[in-house]
Amino acid sequence: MMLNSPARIKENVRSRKWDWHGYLFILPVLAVLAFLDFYPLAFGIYYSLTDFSLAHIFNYKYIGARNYLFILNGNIPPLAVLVWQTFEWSLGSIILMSSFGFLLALLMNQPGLRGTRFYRTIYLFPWAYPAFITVLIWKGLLDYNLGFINKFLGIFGIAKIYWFGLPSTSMLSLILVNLWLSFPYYTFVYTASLQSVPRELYDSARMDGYGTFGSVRKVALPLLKRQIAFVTIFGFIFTWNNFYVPFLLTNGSPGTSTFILITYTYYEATNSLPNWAMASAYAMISVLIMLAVVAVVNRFTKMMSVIY
Amino acid sequence: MDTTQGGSPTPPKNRLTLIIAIAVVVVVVASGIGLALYYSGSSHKTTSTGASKVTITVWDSSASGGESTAFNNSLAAFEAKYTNVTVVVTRGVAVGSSNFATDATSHKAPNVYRDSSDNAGALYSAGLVVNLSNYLGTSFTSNFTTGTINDWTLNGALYGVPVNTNGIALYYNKNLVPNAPTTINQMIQDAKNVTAMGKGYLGLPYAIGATWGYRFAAWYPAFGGELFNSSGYPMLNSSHDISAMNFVWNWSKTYGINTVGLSSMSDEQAYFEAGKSAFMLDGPWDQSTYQKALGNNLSVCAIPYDSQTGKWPMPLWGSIGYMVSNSAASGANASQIWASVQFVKSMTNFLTQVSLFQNAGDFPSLTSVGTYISAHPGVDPLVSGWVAQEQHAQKFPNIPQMAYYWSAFHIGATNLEQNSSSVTPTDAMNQIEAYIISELKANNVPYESAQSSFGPGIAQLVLIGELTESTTFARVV
Amino acid sequence: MTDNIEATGNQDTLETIIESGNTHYRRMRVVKRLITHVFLILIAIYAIFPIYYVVINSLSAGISLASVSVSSLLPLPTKLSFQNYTGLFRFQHGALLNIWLPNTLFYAGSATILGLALALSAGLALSRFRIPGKKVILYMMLILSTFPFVIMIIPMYDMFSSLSLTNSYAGLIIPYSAGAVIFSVWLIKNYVDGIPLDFEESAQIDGYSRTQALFRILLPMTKPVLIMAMLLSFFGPYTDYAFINIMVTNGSLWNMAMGLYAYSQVSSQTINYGQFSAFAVVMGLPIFLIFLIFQKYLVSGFSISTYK
Repeated sequence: MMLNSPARIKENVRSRKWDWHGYLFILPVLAVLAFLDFYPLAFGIYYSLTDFSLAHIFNYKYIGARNYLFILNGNIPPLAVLVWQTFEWSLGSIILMSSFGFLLALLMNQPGLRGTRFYRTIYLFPWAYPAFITVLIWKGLLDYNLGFINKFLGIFGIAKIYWFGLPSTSMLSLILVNLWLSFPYYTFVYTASLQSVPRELYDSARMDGYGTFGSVRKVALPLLKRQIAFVTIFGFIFTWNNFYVPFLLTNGSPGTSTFILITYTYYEATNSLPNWAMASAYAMISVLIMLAVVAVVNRFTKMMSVIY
Repeated sequence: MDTTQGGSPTPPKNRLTLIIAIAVVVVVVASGIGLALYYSGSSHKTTSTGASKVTITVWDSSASGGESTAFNNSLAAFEAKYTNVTVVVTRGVAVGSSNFATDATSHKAPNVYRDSSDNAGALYSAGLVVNLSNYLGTSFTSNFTTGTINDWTLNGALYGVPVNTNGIALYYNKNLVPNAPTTINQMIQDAKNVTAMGKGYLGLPYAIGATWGYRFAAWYPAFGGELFNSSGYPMLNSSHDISAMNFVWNWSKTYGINTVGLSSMSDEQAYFEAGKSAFMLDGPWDQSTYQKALGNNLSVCAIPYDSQTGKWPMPLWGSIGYMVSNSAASGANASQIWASVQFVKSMTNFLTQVSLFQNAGDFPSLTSVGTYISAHPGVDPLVSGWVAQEQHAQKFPNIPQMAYYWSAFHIGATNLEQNSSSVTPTDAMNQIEAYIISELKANNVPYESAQSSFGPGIAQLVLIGELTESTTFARVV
Repeated sequence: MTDNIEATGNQDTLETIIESGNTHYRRMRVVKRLITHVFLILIAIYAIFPIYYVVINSLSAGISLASVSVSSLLPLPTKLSFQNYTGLFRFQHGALLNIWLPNTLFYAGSATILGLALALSAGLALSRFRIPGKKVILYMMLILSTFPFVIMIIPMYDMFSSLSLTNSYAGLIIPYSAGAVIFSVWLIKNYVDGIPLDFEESAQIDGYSRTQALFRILLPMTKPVLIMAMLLSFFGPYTDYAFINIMVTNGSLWNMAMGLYAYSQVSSQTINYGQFSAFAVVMGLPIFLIFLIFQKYLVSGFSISTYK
């Protein structure tokens, strides 16, 4: 067959001629996404425009944007509070996790440091252990009366801390638990990217008279700027939708001070008088805000360019 | 690359890939459609078989091991008696009223479900539960205490059969308080005396901001208040209910017998079990825990009355029971509903309730079992305290709007506790009222016409809600 | 990639050559190293403590949250006991070993295989084939990844219910296999983008078809990223609670997370903390071992393919 002459093949591959086989390969994934994402999503949007709830379980009907209007003016907790708490949770978490992970990676990336393999294995622990369980462990550790942390602080004469008892501290406690769960991931990612910076660049920065952190600032940060932005933004999206940590630790209490959009959505759909329409509306609002954030961030970081 | 391996010409292989791919897609699509068709038809097939063999599904939410033992024994007795009925039991975490509702959306709810009377009331209002008045006459219901039957009656319909009854009373530590207080003032004084014993002692710890108002509800009647009026409208910001909040708030604010910032009910229990607090407001389900900690020093009495007004605090006196889902919720046919009713009767009969009392300490809903217990006082030495409390109890509201009280109370009480410099008990009660109304609106209640599937209680609320909405919201915003 | 750290650890860098002989610098360096190690050790304690805490609690007889104290956390041989473990394995007639563990492994295992097959074919195709509308597909997948699962859950329940997929193995495995598919497609696509076309070219010159070249030549080269994707698709189903709780009421279909919840919820006020800890250890151990074994691939998988 003439088709198989080396020159033709080379040309064929390089030119990436259109080939319908490509669709065959992506068809299964598209089918699964249609079945499990698009169909439920379309119904979710529809439900958010109805009064589908326990009170109207079999006779729900289209009511237009009434759910959204109600959420926008009048529901308690107010939407602004929920959105603020969601930002508090996701921004607070991501800033803390990302910077802690980066600093730790810097510390471990010093030339000639011994024992990095040992440290790295230890730091794997929080990431390697299922979060579903470690969150429950932290819940016990931070209990006000019986928790070990307060007992331990008591030895040094430090008064017991209301980790999850006060609105002012409970969100911070959630973020701290999340830091423990997630810093290994960021440390690993940043370690990998710091290692991709050639060692000679550091050395020449040293020769120019920069100290350890000076050379990081001069050499590593400019090179890794885009990677850091990328990891941080995806971490932000992930934290925004992170369900288990706030759900298992406080599920909104005290009051509504630790509800974020996703846990509040779950609460609306699963309390003893479930309102699935409202839950869908809250989920849609969460998605819309998320997409707006991604669009804005993309203007500045061009993170979507990973696609090409 | 290895040249010896793949020398064969490519087109045939290409065609093979194509054929396989098309075959896979066709098979997947066809089997999907086939499956859907098969099962959409099958639900009709199974229901049309005769009444000779019946299968019913049951969700059992028995909490403790003792309750499960009693359930299993009664189940065995039922299966021995009705050999043509097969019972499929589901237990555990997935058993809850929200899962019941989710399953009902696709007509897959269980035939028989066990829950508290208030959750069941919401399910009945939603049109998911059989009105048992058509199956069980007064000759059956008259065997039960009036209170428990009231708990399971909404708009004249009996929507379930009670299996037990419960509420809270006042536990006290006889080592610190030798005699039960007979008036509210004496209770406060006893608590003050215990607090005065020194560091670590606290007379009456109550984690107001960390709880959901179940136990708190006892105080509204002591000041002449109520949760909902007879039309089902929330009364939480009435002057009576505000007085109740003022009173409890003073425990920490004025009397010093409580402290601000307890993070959960287990913090209260830690005081009581360590012998550091005089009183504990709690139900019979924790009695064995306290007995273990305090031994013979543990006693229980009715929450004392106000000697000036003569009014009694009245705890919510609720009930767990069994309900039968209608065909809309579970797809049940007439014989399945009949079998379910027989099952419910069997699970609430004399032997079951005696077994529940002996194994799990559950108080009975049958008058005859109450008599039996009084005749056998050895099983529970504290039973007289509970009987005394039952004389001063309020009906556990079973209208759907009750479901919003819990979160509302939690939000208001937390706000009061955390921001006490700027928030007064009056503000907190206004907030609780506003939250309930907000939730009722969010669930489209005020927008519905009177033909809503919810009962007339809500229909009236619609009118009131429309009238008061503007004034209420002006306060919140 | 991981071995890099060790390599730089032993190599004489420019810096050390320049600074050798200068005692002031050397002393400064020792102090700096010391401070670094103190920091790293403190973080190591922070990382490992909750795991240590739960392991020790699981080995202490009659422990409760209230009785946990500094001294109870010391590993004394006199009070070590396995009774929490024997109690756990006997719980509900051995439900853990007979039902929950096999179910969990079955869900996670089959979801991994299915999900990997889906992601692999799509990832390869998106990287190597010229597919009109590819950009749209990639954007769509990126946007879908920002959607919380909660939004899907009610419509999905109704759809699954009408297909009789609730309370069935298929109804769990299908969504589980789609759980990590978007992220896996991304990983694989980006990784393959980085592999030069030359390999396939020469394979096609040797007579392989386009498809054969993809699967016989390219596939073995993607091992690190495949393992990464495999781990990710395994974890979701392994620790799922929120989804299975809604889809399944039949106790014989429960996974370990449901078991753990039932187990600690049976009497929420008087939870047996020792047995909870034993459950936490048993459930976490397999995941943890898998992580340790594959940690090499985690770092390399991230460094190459999360971003370019």
